[in-house]
Amino acid sequence: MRRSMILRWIKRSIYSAIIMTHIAFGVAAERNPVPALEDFLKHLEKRHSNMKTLAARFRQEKHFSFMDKPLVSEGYIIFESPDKIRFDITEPFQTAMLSDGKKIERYEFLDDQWRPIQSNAGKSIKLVMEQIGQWMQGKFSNQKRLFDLSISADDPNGYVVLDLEPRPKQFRQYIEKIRIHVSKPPEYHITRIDIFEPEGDRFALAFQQEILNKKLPENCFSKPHTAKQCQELFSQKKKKESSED
Amino acid sequence: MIYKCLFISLLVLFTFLFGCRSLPDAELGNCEDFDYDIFAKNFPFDIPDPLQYRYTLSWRSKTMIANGIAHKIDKSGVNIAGFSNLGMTLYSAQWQDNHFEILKNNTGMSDKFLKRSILFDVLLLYRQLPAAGNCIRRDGLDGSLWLETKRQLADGTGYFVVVDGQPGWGAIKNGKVCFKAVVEQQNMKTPTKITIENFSEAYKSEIRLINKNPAK
Repeated sequence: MRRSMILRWIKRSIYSAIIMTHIAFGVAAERNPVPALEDFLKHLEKRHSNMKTLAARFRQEKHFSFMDKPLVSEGYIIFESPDKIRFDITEPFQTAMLSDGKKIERYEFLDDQWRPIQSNAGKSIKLVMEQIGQWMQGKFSNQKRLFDLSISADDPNGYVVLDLEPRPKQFRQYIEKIRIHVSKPPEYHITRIDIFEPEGDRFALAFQQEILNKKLPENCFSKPHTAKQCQELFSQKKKKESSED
Repeated sequence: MIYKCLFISLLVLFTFLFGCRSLPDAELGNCEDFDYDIFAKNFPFDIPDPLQYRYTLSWRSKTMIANGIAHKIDKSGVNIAGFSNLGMTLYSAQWQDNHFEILKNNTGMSDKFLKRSILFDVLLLYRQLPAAGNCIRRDGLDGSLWLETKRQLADGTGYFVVVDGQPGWGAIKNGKVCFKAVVEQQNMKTPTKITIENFSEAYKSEIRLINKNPAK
């Protein structure tokens, strides 16, 4: 009699444990499902494959380990498939980096005019710009040569977080990890890029306003003084949105 | 022995040709009893803490531009760091007990040159005026007043300089100007830009102060 009671109790405990586990994990999975890496990369690339042009405003935050508060700057990035990029900072100073796919040119706005910068960092900047261009197109599959890729659902606001950890030792001296925040499907927007450096410095690039497949101003990727027309892209959209309201 | 002599001769010739610039305005007068208050009026500056700046270095026909930050740790300590437009840390260092400890150097230049250029240039803003009574000289050419300090600057003797009411710094080595920095101000004691010429290290630089505090 006593034996059968013990057996019944054990059975009940096992069933309860199974049910509890199912509920707990089931709910968690429903809240924030983590897709398989390969599927996710395919979706991401497919989603961005019809992108011809992209303009996005951003806010940059530079965190130094010795500072409580970040240094903030603002700007915009304009991209035309496959490899034209313009990267401007508008606040608290004005600079422009223009890449027409072949060469990169840098300018600084000083004393009311754009002045070219002769720099020996041109090659490395071009590489970084190309990398950003690849990410903007959702092309991460071909990054496996340089990075170890993993995904998680750590982002409380977004859908998924894609981590890129550099493989080459030399690269790891400068960058510990790159974290890319991607919004929920079907948009798959890249909402934020965090770059973690060794010894605690960190950099964040948060995209605020995105304009897809819109005609870009002429000479946008070759002339720095088209900055005004480029910035108008964002104000036009704002105006349109407010008139719709 | 012959090689040694030849080497020393070449070194002397090299220093003579490419070292500190020989300038007529380097002919400073003797120590005289000028008014010290003119320096007290101009130094120190009202420097926000943390201080955000944009630094341009022109060296060997190339230009390096960095976004920078300087943050006081305590009375004598300052953290100085810079980063690129794409967010990567270019350098970070700590000034403590009269020397720099470099924490990170991704500039591609040697630690020595980093110290002698960017870091010491930024540190200029934190130089403390010596007590009254030190030697003050007048430049015979432009009438600027030079207050001698016991501190080194650009491998020479460091000076606080006031020319036409504008503040700056200078350094003299073997009777020649090694270093010259001129401040542009919006209001009295609020610098907006510092233009620097370092003849010892053969570079020119510019620090533009950004009147914006980090995020609140």
